[in-house]
Amino acid sequence: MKAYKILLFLLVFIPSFASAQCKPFTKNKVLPKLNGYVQNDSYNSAQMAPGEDAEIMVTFFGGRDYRLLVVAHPILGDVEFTVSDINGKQIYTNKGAQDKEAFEFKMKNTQQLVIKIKVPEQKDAVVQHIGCISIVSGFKQ
Amino acid sequence: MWRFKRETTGSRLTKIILFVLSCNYIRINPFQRPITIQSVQMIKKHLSLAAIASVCIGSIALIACGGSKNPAENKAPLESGASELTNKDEFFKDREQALKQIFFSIPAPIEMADMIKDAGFSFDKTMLNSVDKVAKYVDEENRAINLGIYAADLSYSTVFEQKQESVNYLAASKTLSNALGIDAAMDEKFMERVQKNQNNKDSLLSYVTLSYQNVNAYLKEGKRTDVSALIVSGAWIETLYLSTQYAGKNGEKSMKQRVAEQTYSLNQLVSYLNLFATSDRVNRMKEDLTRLQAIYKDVIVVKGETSVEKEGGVTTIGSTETVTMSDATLSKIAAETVVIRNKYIQ
Repeated sequence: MKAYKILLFLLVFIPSFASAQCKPFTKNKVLPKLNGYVQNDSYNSAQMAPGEDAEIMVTFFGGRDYRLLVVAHPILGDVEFTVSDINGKQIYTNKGAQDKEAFEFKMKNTQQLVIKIKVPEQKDAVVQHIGCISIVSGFKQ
Repeated sequence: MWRFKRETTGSRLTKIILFVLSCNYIRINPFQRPITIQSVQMIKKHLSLAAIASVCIGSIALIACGGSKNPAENKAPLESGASELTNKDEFFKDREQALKQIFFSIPAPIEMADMIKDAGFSFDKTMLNSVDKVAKYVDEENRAINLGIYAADLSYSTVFEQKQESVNYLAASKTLSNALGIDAAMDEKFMERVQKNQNNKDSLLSYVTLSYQNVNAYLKEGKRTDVSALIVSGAWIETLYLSTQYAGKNGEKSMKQRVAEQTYSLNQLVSYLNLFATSDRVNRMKEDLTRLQAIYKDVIVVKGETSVEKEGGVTTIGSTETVTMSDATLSKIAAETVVIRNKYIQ
């Protein structure tokens, strides 16, 4: 019975401890997708749960080219992300996009854009998973 | 050796839980999709008690023996970036605040340094905060702010391809990050790789951005987000300082415009610092930035409409919004930035 308890403990807790942080995910799965763009933000990665949403406001400078990445762990399903201006006018959605993780654009003028991410619900899941989501932007030199 | 009890509802459920958990551990679920009641029941139909026991024993064996001899495979669970949500109360505690503290972005110092270079200016070492001062920064608040300041100076040196300066500022940044207890952000291997690649501008640039990201990553994941906020603030102040030193020189307009546009980042930064209302050290930084914000109120922002054009697969985002300021406002911003910076670098 004691061994059984140890087994249960290992199976329940080790995976959670091992995957608690998103730094390796960002480094290995996200940053290579910048494809030659220079990363221009600090660190915007976190584990999120099904049904959660988040947003981030980013300033993009006029006259520059950018690549914006929103990369989620596959366990979270099809994470939706949109880009809007400060007044809520939607500029981009990854729904139906060929590349659901990347958005490349040129900025004519400097302005703040709002990136919203939404993790789909998983109502019928017995075991709820959390997974990393990273928002990374880079500029072209 | 343990024994499974006779098939009862409880033991069946235990078997399902064990199987689901072990599947996750050894990645039997290759598509990494959520496991539903239906899928578990389907799997259960085809599994004997012996098979479940084998899977569990296999999991234990993998843990005990270290799994595959391939190091990359051994790292798989660590790098997977997903896990079961085992403690909902802990995970969702102050969740909105936690996500706001993590998802925050103002342009990293490397971009402003790149814009200074783009504007045709040359490198000026005398403007930077000397690396010789690194030992003077003895408390966590000063270390964090000056780590941000050095990060900006490092970005500036790297963009201008000043190899030796870059290595010096990276070393100073390492000293401060070690002192802040985040040695792993720039470990010895990382520094060796930088030394080896210091003649490759693109590699050096990626190491610089990676070091800035690593520092913030370790702090945010270590729930020391307030320290990360101080670093970002220090980097922003130094970047503004460097920009104001160039802006307006001999009628120069592009950097003046960039300094005016910092009104967006400043407002974002102050809002971000508001999330750390209980931190005295963050509040001290906020007081300084609020003084600057008062001067930035003279920057004129005329709201406009956003436009989106698509041509040849390229999306161009425009706006009729304008941001302008007078030379007098620029002078006031420059003067106040010097005061704030001097307070921290001394």
